[in-house]
Amino acid sequence: MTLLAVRSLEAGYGRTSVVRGVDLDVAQGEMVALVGPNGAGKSTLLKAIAGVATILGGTATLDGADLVPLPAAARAKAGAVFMPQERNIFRTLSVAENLAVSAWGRRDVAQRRNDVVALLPAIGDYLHKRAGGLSGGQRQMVGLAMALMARPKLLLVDEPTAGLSPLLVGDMLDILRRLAEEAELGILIVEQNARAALQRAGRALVLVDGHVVRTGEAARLAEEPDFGALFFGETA
Amino acid sequence: MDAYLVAILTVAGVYVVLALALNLQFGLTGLINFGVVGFFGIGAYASGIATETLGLPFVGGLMVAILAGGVTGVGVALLSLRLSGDFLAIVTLGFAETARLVFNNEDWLTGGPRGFIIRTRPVMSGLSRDVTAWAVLGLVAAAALITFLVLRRLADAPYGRILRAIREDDLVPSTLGKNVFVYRLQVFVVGSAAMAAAGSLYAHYVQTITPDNFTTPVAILVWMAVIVGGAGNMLGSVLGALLVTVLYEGSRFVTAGISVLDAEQISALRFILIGTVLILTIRFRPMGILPESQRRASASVPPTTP
Amino acid sequence: MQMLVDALASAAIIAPAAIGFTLIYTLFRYANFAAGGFVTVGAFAAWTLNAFFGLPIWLAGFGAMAAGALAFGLCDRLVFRPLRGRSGGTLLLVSIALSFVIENIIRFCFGAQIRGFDLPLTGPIEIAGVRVTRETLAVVAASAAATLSVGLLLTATPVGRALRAVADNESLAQIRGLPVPRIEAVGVLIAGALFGLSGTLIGLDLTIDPNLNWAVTIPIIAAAIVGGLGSPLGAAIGAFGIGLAEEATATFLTPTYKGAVGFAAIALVLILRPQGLLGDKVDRK
Repeated sequence: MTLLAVRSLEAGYGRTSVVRGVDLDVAQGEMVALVGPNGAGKSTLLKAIAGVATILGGTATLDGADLVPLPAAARAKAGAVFMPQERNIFRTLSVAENLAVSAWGRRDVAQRRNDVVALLPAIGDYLHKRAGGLSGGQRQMVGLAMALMARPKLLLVDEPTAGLSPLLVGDMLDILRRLAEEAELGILIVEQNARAALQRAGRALVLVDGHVVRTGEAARLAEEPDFGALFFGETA
Repeated sequence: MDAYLVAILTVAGVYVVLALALNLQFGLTGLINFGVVGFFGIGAYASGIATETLGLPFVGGLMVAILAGGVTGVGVALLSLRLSGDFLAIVTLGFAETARLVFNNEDWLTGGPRGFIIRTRPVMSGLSRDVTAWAVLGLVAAAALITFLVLRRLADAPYGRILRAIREDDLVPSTLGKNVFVYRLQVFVVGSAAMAAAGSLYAHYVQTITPDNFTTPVAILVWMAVIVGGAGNMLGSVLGALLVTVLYEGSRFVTAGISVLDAEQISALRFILIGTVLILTIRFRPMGILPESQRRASASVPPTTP
Repeated sequence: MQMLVDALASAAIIAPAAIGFTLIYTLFRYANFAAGGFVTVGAFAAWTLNAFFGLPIWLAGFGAMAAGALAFGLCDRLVFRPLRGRSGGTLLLVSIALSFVIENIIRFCFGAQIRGFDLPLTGPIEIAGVRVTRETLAVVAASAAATLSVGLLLTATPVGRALRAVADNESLAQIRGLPVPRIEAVGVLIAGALFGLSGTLIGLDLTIDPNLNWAVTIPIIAAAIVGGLGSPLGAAIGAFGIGLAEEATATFLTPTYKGAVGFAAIALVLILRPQGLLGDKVDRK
C-alpha cells in the first residue's frame, strides 16, 4: 500500500524553488531511489519531505496524513525520519548515547536499542565507543541506527554512501534494501552512485532540473540507452 | 560659551579619536579590541612620565605615548591576532585589566591610586585660563579632525577594501595572496597607537590621572560610540562619539534632578542607561545611525553587523 | 602545603562559574562575559538572604543559586535569545554591555560599599600543620559537590545527554526530535545556578562589592580556557590551575598582581597552543 504520496511538490530555500512539481509514491517495504545530476534538486526534495527545506506548493501525505503543516520534529514523530548526508552523528557522544538521545521522550529506549542492534548487528561491536572516533562506514551505520531509533515508517536517506569506499557502498545499499524488506520500511534514497542504487532499489525516479524526467522499475531504467546522457542534463 | 561646554567638547574630542581608532580595528577590520582603556591609559601615563619625570616637552610626551601604544599593540597582537575574534576580545580585556593593575601598584612610576600630576600643558604657557581651555580644545579638535581625515582616506583606499574583505571572511584575501595576519597586525598597532595618542591628549588636558580614569565604563562608551554611529563608517564614529558624550554628560543633568537618589545611584543609573542603549542598538539597529555604505562594502557580502 | 590548600580554596570559588561558562560556550558558541555579573548577583542575593534576612548561609546559598538561574534565565530570554544566530563577537559584546548593566543595577540597589556575610565566628583548625578555616572547608566541599553533580547530570541522565547532543550538533538534535529550545533553557538555568553558587562561595571566603564583576570574570574565563572549553571536569581542573598560579604569584612574587594571573594564564595557553583551545575555527558557526 502507498505510504508516502507526493503531488506537484514545489520546494526550495526561502522563496527560490529548486524542486518544481514532483509527483512521487513510496509504498511500504519498497526502496525508491532518487537519481540525477548534481544540483537537480534530489536532496532538496528529500529535505522538503523531512521538513528541513521549505515546501512552496503541492502536497505530501504519509499514510494519508498531511505532512506539510508539520515542523520537522513532528514529521519524524509521524514516521518520516530523515538521515542527513553530513554531520549525522553526535561525535562527542558514545554510540549508545547517540542511540539513546535519538529516542528522546520515549520510555522504551532500551527495547528500541535492542531492536536496532538486532537489525544492524555490527553496531553491537562499537556500542560504547565515542562516535567521533569511528571509521566512515561505522559512522554512517550509527547515523542509520539513530534514524531507526525513531521506529520510522518511511526512511529518508540522503547520500548514505558519500565518502565511503566502493566496497562499503554496496554493503550500505544492501543493508538498506534488507531493511525495506525485513522491517517493512518505505525507503526514499538519494544516491550519487546511481547504478549501484538502481541495482538494489525497486523503483527509481530520475530528477533533472527539479523535474522528474524518467520513472519506473529501477533495474529497467538503468538499461535504457540514454540513461547516461540524463546525468548531463540533456532531457529527452 | 561657558567653560563647562568647552570642557565637554574637549572630552568629546578625545572620545572621537578613541572611537575612530576602534572603528579602524573593529568596524573596518573586525578586530574585537576590548582593551581600549589599556592603550588609552598607557598613552596617558607614558606621556605623563615622559614630560614630568623625564622633562620632555608635550610633543615629546605625545611621541612617547604613540610609541608606547604601538609597541604594546604589537605585543598584544602577536599573542592573539591569529586567533578567532573571541580570543582577541578575551586577551585584550585581560590586558586592560592588567594595565590598570600596573597603574595602581607601581606607585614609584605612576603615583598609584593617589594620581599622577601632569603640569606640562599642550599649549604655550602664560595664557589666561579661558584662552588655555580654548586652545586645548582647538588642539584636541585638530587631532580628531586629522585622525578622521586620515582614516577616512584609508577606508576608501584599496587598503580599506582589503581590510573589509578580511573582516567578512579572512579566507578569501589569503587565497588571493594577501597576508591577512600582516594586515591585521598593522591595523591593530595603528589603532592602539592612536588610542595612546588620545590618552596623551587626555592626560595633558585633565592634568591629574588616576587608574580609575581607565576602567571599563570608558571602554563601553567608546564601543557604544562606534556601534551607535555605525561600525565601518568613520563619520558615524565621530557622530557616535559626540552623541555618547552628550548622552553621558546630559544624563548628569537629568538624573541630578532626582533628589531622592544619592550620587552613587545616579552614577549607576547613567551607566545602566548607557549599557541598555548599547544592547538595544545591537538588537534593533545593528548597522548604527550611519550604516557603512553598500558601495564601499565588498560587493557580494553584506557588511558586518556587530 | 599551605599554598596548595589556599589554591584549592580559590579554585573552589571559581570552578562552578567556570563550568557554567563552559556549558554556555559549548551550547551557544559565544564567550559570555556577563558570567562575572551573574556571580555578583549570586553574591548579593546570598548576602541579602543571610545578612539581611538572617537565614543560615547554606539556605542563602541555595537562594543565591535560584537567583543566579533566574537572572540568567531572564537575561537569556530578553537579550541573548533574540540574538541567536548572530556572530560570537556580537554576543560577546552584548554580554559585556549586559555585565555592565547588571553591575550597575547592583550598585544602584546596594551601593558601592564592601559587605560581608553574617557568619558565626570560628577559629581555623589545624590539620597536619596546615591552617584551614571552616569556611574554606565548606567552600571546597560545596564546590566539589556541585562539580560532581553537574558531571553526573551531564553523563548519566537523559537531560544531560540531550544537553551534550545539542552542544555537539544543534541541527541534528532538531532533526532527531529533541526539544532544543527547552534543553537550551535547562542549560542556561544550570549555568545561572552555578554562577550564583560561585557568588556565594566568594562571600564565604572574602568580602563582596559590585566591583566583584570584573575581578572574577577574567579568572573564570581563564579557568575555562585552560580547561579546554569542553567539559566540566576540564573547567574544574582549569580552575585549580588558575588558583594555584594565583597563590604562587601571591606567595613568591607580589599579592598585588594576583589579578593579572588570569591574563597571564590565557597568554601562556596562547603561546603554547597558538591554534587555541577553543577548537578550530572551521567547525564553528
